[in-house]
Amino acid sequence: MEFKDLKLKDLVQGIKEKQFTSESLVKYCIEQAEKYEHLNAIIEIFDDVLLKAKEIDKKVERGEKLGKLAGIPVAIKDNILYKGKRAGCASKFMQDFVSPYNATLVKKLLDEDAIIFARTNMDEFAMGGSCENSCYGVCKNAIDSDCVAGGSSGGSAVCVSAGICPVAIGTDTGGSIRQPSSFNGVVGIKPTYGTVSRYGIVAFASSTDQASPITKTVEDNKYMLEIIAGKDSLDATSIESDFGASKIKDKYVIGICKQLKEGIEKLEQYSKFKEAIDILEKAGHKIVEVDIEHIKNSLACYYIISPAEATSNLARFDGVKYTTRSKDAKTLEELYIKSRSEGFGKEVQRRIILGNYVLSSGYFDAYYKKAKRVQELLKKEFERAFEKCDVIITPTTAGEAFEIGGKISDPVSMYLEDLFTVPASLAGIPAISVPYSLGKKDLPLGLQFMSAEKTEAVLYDLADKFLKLTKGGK
Amino acid sequence: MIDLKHLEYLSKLKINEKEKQRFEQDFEKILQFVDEITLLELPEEEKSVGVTLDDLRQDEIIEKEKCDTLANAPEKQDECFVVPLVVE
Repeated sequence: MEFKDLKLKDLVQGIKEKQFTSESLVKYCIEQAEKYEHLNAIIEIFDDVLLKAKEIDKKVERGEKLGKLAGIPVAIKDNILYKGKRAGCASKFMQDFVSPYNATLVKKLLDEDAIIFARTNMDEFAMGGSCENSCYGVCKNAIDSDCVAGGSSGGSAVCVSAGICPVAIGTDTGGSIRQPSSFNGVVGIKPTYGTVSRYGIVAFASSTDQASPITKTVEDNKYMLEIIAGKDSLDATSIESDFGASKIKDKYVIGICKQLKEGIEKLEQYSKFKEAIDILEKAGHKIVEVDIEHIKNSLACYYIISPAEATSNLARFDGVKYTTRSKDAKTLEELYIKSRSEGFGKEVQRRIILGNYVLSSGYFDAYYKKAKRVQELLKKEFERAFEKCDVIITPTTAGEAFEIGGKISDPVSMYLEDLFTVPASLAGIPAISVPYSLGKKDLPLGLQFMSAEKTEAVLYDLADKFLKLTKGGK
Repeated sequence: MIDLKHLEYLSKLKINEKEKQRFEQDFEKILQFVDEITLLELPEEEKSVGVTLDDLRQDEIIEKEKCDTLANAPEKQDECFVVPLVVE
């Protein structure tokens, strides 16, 4: 059986109508994973996937009611808990951790009869923009294995792009789904903050963390998000949303942010970006300029707020409760310090220290408090901008995937990777990345659309319209 | 210059001696990069946002799936986490 396109809806239909079995699909995905093992996108294929697939096939045989994902393999990022299986955030500190319960999103997938297929490679504790900070080694780009996968959900994006698995779940705190999706030519969304429950996801920066699907098509992405979204009593910040279906229009008003214009014009991809705008304009959408004054400060703002939250969230990893423990500690204090220093990788340690710096006495007002104010202003400025337009458009990243090792020794240049993705994270609004063109190295470039809170339906609709106009960015 | 010793203390971390110099250099660069925030003049406003919780659940006991809290402990004994001696 050949499953070339791995389009989700066809697969769901195919299993239901007995054109093929879930077992054959899972076997195919295992073969693909072996074929692309060199990309290092997968940390572990779970040991019971064929067994679970057979169970679903029996359900099909017996004519039982089937879930929306019956027999479909779904890969999850290594920071999402699946009961009884390892989840380690690609950190050697957590490599023995076995999930004692299911994340809410995993439960939702299982309730729809999905097969949780594998855990995917990532930057340690989701900190990084290249998927090079992993204790399992670098995850490579699906299109050019000399280049990075992007991060932190690099493994999930590569899995989908290479055709190992039809869908994968990632998490996005400042761009960790959108940037690797852009680098690997797939569709990734960061929904409105709270859309998907964070229960059972290892926390990085709780006020911007969101999990969501990475898929080959916009349609598949929407299908998946609808399944994993929803209010959850176990996450007080989760929300109920209809994704703004009533806001779908034939023609949209598309905003270009005045404050980003100059920067975008300097990019190598500018002519391609301009082309995309022209295509949208020709199709009858209106292009306007919008003001978002503090967008230019969002990156600095994010690199204050997210480490501050990370430092608090990572305080629980102490060598006592669920991480590996340093062997030669004599006192409790020593146990904490040694376990953490041996367990956490370089970038994670850097962010913990940075977080403590901006939160420490004497610096709190100047850094953290002020960054929170900037975040607040940014949020309001976005709200005002969305009174003038339906969607704001930017490139997802400054350029194509860069070479492995190219930025790893310069943290600031790595942080700049998040330039276009961070604003939506700070504002809590949805943003989608879709492949729109190829860069100089013939690697994919992503286009990002952002919209007002709870209007993912608008993003999906416009992204779909755009891809139809450009034949999928090819 | 940053007071790395103090930050290590707050972070319960010890930066590898060999990497200390490099760490401090990189850290200075990061601070220069985020410093723009400290220089901004912002309009004053009373209320601060962040995550707002307007729909809090009732404070009541709910049935949850049982979960073995100690399952991942590196050292345990009789339903307790084992740590080095704290009180003599």
